[in-house]
Amino acid sequence: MDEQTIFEAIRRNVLALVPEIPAEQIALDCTLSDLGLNSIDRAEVIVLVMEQLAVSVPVHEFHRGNTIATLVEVIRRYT
Amino acid sequence: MTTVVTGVGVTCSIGSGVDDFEASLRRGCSGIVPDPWGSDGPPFGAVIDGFTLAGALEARSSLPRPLLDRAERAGRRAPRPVQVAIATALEAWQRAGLHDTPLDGERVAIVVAGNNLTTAYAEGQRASFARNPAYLPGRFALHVQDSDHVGTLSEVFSIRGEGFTVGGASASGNLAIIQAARLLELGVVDACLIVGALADLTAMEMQAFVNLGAMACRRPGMPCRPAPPFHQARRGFILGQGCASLVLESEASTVRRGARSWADVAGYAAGLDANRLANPSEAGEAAAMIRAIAHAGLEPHHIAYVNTHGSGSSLGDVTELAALRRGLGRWFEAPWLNAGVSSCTRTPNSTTRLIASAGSPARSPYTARSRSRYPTASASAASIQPSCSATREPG
Repeated sequence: MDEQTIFEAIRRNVLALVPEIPAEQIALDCTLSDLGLNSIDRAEVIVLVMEQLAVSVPVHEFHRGNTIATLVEVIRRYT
Repeated sequence: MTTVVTGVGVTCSIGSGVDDFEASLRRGCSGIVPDPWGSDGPPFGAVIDGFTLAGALEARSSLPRPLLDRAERAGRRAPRPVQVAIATALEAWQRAGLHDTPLDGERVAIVVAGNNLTTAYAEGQRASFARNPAYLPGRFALHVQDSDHVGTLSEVFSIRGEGFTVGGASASGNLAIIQAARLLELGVVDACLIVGALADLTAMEMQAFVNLGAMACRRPGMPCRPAPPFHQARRGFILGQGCASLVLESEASTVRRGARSWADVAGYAAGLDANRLANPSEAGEAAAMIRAIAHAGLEPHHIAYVNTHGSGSSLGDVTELAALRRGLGRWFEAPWLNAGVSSCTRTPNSTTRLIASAGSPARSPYTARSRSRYPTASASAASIQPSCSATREPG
């Protein structure tokens, strides 16, 4: 699975959960916290992306403060 | 000290908001429809149809934008019972004028009535979990707990005083009012937001009530409309969906804010029966009535209106009438009795049994009605006693 597909899935779900966020602010070098997502929303984005891409990543792979680029890379390794 | 009702809100099968609800009652509307959960579910029910949080917030668009934004953000991913609680509490908050003349958030409490409020939500998540446990949303851990109602309402209304749920099955609504009144009497807070929450039951829970013999079930020769409570043809309770909210406030706070008073909480009482089963106790019910009347400093002949439990169960209705006879003595036939909010003789009960919020919705129209002083369509004990005694059953 290519990185762009994963990034698009993250972007799509961030906007679904927090539609107030301007879409152009969602970039690879920012964190979900930077975008204003709370802890529950951050966890939900990850779960929704995994489910939609049919990927299963162990929870311990995700760390607070990961950039979206890091999230994309972690998920890509399990595809 | 006097405890005052300053705000009311309701969402149920026959009304979104107190005005809508009251208009439905005036027209004699019933929310009961056949097969609301499909042909495998209970034969009748009264469901909240067409509710959306967005629509409910639009109906409250005159409230301050920051409050509505918090409600939208906190509620948009929440289970349906929490969304309905937000919408209903917004009405009570607005009617209490707490958006115009606010109180210190630390001087306001929240009491949510009900337990096991999100079982249908939990059942709905089972498919994701079964497909892969990793796909279960983390928010499930919060939403599956009743305290999620309290936390969400706290965030929406910026409430920082005490907050908790009160679970007492179908007595939850009344118990919440009692606990809120005590918080006010103790001076812990100046106001308390009460929400009698929507109990969104699963198919399994509904079937268990049928198997227990408590809920009306399908049977040969079943009428197209169920019999109302206290009627000789009643066959158990009809499940309804509803949510109600009250703002209780100390009289001193009401005066300071210039808030409108809808009603007073004159007195209350509750008691257990040293019994784990669902069978009611005439002695226990009568004792609670007598203590509540005494707590209010009243006598039985002062009671003009009784909002009965009136579930329509065979034993429950008979026992309740017997308890009224014992509790009110020779004044037994004096008050008007209300079952399921509306009439128990001319129309089926309007909103049916609401489980967690039972008791709360009936407070909303009644407090409104007590202001407008129009008579309720109801019945006195004298008129329903014969049909009820004719159906006396063992055990």
